[in-house]
Order: sequence, then structure tokens, then C-alpha cells
Amino acid sequence: MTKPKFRVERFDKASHDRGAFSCGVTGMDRWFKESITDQIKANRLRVWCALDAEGRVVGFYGLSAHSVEAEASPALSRRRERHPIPAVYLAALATDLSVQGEGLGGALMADALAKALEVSETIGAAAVILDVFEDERFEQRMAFYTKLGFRPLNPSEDPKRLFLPIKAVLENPI
Amino acid sequence: MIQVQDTTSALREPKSHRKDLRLKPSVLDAIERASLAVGMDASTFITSVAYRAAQDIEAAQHRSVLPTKAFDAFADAIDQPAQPSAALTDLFTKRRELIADD
Repeated sequence: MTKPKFRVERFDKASHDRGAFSCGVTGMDRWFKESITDQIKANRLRVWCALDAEGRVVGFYGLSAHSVEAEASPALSRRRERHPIPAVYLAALATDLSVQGEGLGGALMADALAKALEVSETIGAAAVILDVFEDERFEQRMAFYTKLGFRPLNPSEDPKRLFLPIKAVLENPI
Repeated sequence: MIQVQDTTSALREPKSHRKDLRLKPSVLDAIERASLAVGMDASTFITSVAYRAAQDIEAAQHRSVLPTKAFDAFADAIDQPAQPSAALTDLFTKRRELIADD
């Protein structure tokens, strides 16, 4: 087996240069370059980046804590309890144009799911949640996530927000 | 009369910052019509609506609030036994091939 081409490190703006990164989607690039620093500093978000052999940042994903709650419903109803359910939110995932087509996006998705599983095993989280980015590749993204087992959290009102039960990750060899 | 809450009125800060916006004429027309319809000046309307949207977006990263039916379906789904998945297995194989262990 050949040596893996990439490594993943927790993003640190002092060590990782985002300047040249471009995934081809302006909104995603801006999120990575302009939005994450304050959220990381405030401990609301962690970002993990993929580095190539030269140490170039060629991919990233972001994770944060999430809670799934029932709307205006008592915690204990006649039928069942409806306490908030902890989850992990995958805030974004993208790869640089220079490595697209090499499978790094899928590998980073697996890395994000493995991190979510660690969180679940450490403090408890029952699902991974994400929002499918809507542009001309929306259908392709939706097909990718659906194939992995993701499905809409609230199909009638917000079909782009998807979840994957953490049990689905547990059932597969990491 | 339709109402829009002034979502920034409770903030105890002076309005010391400016933000210039470039708008398409028809967009400005629609905003001005809507702000008149709810009895606000356009500046307060834009600020209130945008500030509410900003709050909602930040909250959405950390919280999903579902109607009871969708919440119950989610709660059932996460409790179901899962089966091994070829797609997830392939994904983790790709991870092992491409990403070095720590």
C-alpha cells in the first residue's frame, strides 16, 4: 500500500496558511478564510484541515456541537419523552481545486464522521447533522450524502438539512 | 397590520457605525414598500430583519428545532439498529488510503 498523501491537523491560523486555498465555491472559501477565527476563539467550532506533502492546506471541515429539539413540546408528553438530543454538526467541508478528483473530499468526510464518533463515545452524540450547500452541484451533493445514509431531518420544511445516525458510523470499520 | 419587531431596540449601544449598501432599484422599491407597510423607516426595517436573520443563522449551527412529528421520526431513526453500509465502508477505505494516521 502506498504512503497516504495527506495528513489532517486541527486548524490553527498561526500554523496553517489559508491564503491560496480555493475550492471553486466563493461562499465556502469566504467561510474558511473569514468566518471561522472568531468562532474557534469562542470555542463554538473546531476546524480540521488536510495538508499535502509540502504542508499546503488542500482541504478542511468544521465541526460544532448541536442539539435537536422538539418545537414547543413538553419534555414529557403522554406518549414519549422529547428531551433535546445531542448531535455533531458538520459546518462545512471542501477541498482545493488542485486536488479535486483525488478522493480527498470523501476521505475528509470519513475523517469528520470518525471525529463525530469519538465525540459520541466521549460525551454522547446520537447523529451527525449537515446542511447541503445549494448551487449547481446541489443534486450531486445530495446524491452523495443520501448514498451514505443521510436523510432529511425535517423533510417538509427544510429538506437540505440532513442527519446520519451515529449508529450507522459505529457499524462500519473505521 | 403586519408587524416587524425592531430586534435591535433593546441593545444599549449608540448607532455609531454606518454600512453603505448598493441595491438594485426594484429591490430598494420592494424594501421601501414593505417598510412603509409595517410602519418603519427603511433603515430600521433593514437592520431589524437582517439582525433577526443573523441571530437565526448563528443559532441554526447549534440547534435544530423540529415539529413534533419530525422530532419523533428523528428520535425513532437514531434508535434503530444500523446495518453495515458499502458506501460508508468505501469512504473509510478511502480515508485509510489518503490520510496518514496521527
